[in-house]
Amino acid sequence: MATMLAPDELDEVIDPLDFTATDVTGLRMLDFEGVDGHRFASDVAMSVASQMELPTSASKYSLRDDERARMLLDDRPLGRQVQRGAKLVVIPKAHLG
Amino acid sequence: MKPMITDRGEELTVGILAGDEESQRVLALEPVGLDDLALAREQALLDGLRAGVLPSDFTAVSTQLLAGDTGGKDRLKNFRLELSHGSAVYRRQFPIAALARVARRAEANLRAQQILTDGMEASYFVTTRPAQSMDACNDVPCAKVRSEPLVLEEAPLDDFLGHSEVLRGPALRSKDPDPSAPTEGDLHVFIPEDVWDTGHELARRGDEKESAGVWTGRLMRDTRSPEVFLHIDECLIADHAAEEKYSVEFSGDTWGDLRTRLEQRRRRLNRPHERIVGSVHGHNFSPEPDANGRMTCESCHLLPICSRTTAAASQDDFRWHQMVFAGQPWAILVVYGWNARDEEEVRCYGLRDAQMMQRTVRILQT
Repeated sequence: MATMLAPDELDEVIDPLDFTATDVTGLRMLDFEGVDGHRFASDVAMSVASQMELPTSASKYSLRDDERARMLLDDRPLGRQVQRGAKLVVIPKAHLG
Repeated sequence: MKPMITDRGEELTVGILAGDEESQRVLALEPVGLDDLALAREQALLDGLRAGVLPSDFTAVSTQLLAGDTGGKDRLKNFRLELSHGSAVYRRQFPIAALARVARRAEANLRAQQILTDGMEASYFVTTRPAQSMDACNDVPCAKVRSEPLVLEEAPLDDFLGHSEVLRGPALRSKDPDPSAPTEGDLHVFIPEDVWDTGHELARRGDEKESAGVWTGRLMRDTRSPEVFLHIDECLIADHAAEEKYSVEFSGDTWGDLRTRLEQRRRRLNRPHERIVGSVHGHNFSPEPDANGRMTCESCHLLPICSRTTAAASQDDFRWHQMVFAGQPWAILVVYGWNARDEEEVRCYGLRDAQMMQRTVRILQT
């Protein structure tokens, strides 16, 4: 049975994956190489946030593809949503209250 | 959670006691994690930068946790962070109160488990214990850091001080100073009057819903001392945000738009070092009346400052600030609201003693 693809999803998982990630303020910019493209975007977002030394206890992050101006789906493999060399931004999932 | 290990190879730990500090009944031992010390580290980095000891490239600074002085029963009276960069070393001591949030977290867990019940008091102490466990290694390959070093522009601090006035808050209409607002010791933050007014408009733009903006600015170093200060250049609208009565959530498009406009400003104004340095938002609602339907309290006419106000940062505000501005101890948080007398108020917050505390800003006359 064929898997339904979300809009904009690639028809194959790019693995391994290289990308650049920044935080929302642009203070930190990190280059990642050889990341498992089958990992969910949410999972990778948390790992990237951790390497950026952003708070990760009880805090969640998502990823945004900066060049294509769209949020990545948390529960989909990262390698199905971005190309090699993508520029990603780590977006805090939080609100001012 | 990755525990913080001291120079003696022990975990820093907060213990929760049933009753007061003399109690012998330890209910829980909560490890102090990396996140728990984030504000303390940022405070030490900022202080070290302002003292001219540490560089502005914080990624090049290594951190060592040192257990502090003991006050009997292996309980610590304080703890220290030692930051080093090459041969430069900066040490900062913190009281155990800087770990109060760890104690609150542990106490909340105990209450959720009914180990602490209603009416039971709890207190806390800080100690060290042999390291219990280490988290598994991060499962994304280590990244190469490609961040540009933070640049401090040189400017004479005295000129800024001479052309600015302290905004103490909280009441905008009242001239009464707020006794809780600090005036000394904090990093100076300068905001041109027209930019401050823009921030006010953006905070109130949502009418009955919360709305927000972000401050952009540049870090400066005094030409006659190592002192560092912040100059705010602009307040940008937080567009495409989910604005509700009691919250405002930035979307991916909000951040995309803000980053694009900042980049445009950098190019157009030739300010390559301008960056996002804080936020402003409005609690655009009034305090709830009391059980008798009264807005103001009995002694309202006697008190210079009304304490019933919505111009106060919430725990969500502090958490958002920490997620966005981690590693940026100069960042400010500004909140507008209304007090029970229907007066508009504003409060500014920044890092002090490893906690987000109310602070002043200086308004530059334009």
